[in-house]
Amino acid sequence: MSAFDIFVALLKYCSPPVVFMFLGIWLALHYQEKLQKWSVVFWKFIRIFWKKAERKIISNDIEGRVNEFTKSLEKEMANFQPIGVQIQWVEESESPSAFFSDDKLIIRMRGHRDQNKNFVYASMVFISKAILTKAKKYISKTQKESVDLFIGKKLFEKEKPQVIGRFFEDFFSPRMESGKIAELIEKYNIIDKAGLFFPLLVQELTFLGEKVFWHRRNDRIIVEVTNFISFLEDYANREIGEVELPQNFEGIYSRCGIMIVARAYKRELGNISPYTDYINGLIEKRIDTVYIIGPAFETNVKFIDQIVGQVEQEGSLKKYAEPRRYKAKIMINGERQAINSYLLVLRNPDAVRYFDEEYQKEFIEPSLNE
Amino acid sequence: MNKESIKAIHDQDLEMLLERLGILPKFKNGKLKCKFCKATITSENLHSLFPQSGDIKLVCDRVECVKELSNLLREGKILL
Repeated sequence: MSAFDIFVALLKYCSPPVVFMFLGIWLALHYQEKLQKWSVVFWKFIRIFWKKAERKIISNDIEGRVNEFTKSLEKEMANFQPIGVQIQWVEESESPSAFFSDDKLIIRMRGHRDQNKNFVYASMVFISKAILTKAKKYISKTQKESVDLFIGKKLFEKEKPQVIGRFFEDFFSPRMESGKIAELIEKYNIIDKAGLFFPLLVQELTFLGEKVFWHRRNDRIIVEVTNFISFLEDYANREIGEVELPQNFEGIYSRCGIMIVARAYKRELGNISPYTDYINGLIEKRIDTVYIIGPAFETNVKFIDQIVGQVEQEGSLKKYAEPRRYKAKIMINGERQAINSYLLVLRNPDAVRYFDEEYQKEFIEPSLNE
Repeated sequence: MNKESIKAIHDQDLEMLLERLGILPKFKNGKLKCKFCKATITSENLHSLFPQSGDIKLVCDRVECVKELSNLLREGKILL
């Protein structure tokens, strides 16, 4: 029964005010962010009579749009827990002691006529602090900053394109003068065209951030993340049918593997063993997550599902979320074309978060034994 | 959805806050400096403020200063 059918049935048996009350509650629960965005128009009207409504215009615009964006990432990343923003206005009664004991940043908001600036500055503060918080312990300053800038760009393009000019002027263009940042942003852009920025790169950085190592070598993690980004870039840039490029990536600290299932001759043979053997090899190395990527046409999807079915039967890895179908812009004869793609994430349900001394010496850094 | 709060002060209340913190006269006389670039903080360029070691730090909206502030936020040296 659709939501519309329920609405019609309710109209039959309940009085209209009751039905509209339920409708209001349902909308508030399911479309909170959209309602917040739309409410800005209402508060602009109220502001004519009540100057304090200015705050509602500013905060509802920022909260509604930023939260809608982070919520939309649920569709891109497996089991993603979205984090939202809430503007907490400093009260008139805020005392100096509260200011010092709170120990928090206070961001200045201009009048709503300068809302583009408010929106960009508040969003960038939020992204710096709230997105990939844990992974930022491990990666380099350049990696952190470039990821934040790229996520900011995605947020503004999707939620409020009219602020892009402000974002470019105050954040993006000046930072692109740094060669390292520009190089990474360009790589993310290419990875994103292949539809893998959030589902693979950000997903894996999220897993990485959750891990705790007995003996951590941040320099090695940074190199591994750099190699991972380059691998994804090469994958995103590859010509369809390309067989020379590496098909797989094995991370040591990130404990992830990527397997591409796209070669026609292997599929046509119908032999899944090379793939399951490869995954079993990854399991032996205590790899926690395996990303399987391939084109989403039915025979290939069936072939991937067969591989996954076999791996799941053997028991060490399980599907981490429902498979994701998405449009990837893949190179065909030197031009990018949108191709339906399929991504399936397998994860060890008993994946460890704390990597103790013995584990690290055996599986992560055998050199620690020396 | 879990939410991260951002404390904000509206321009309409800015002077009131600075007065309560005892720095309004310095602000009006152009005596407050940006924590990072040491430029004079004015009503035009103020980006944010935060407490640090019992002192009040102000940040201007220059690209480099906002970048430095973001670095401190990422490293957890300033809270939201």
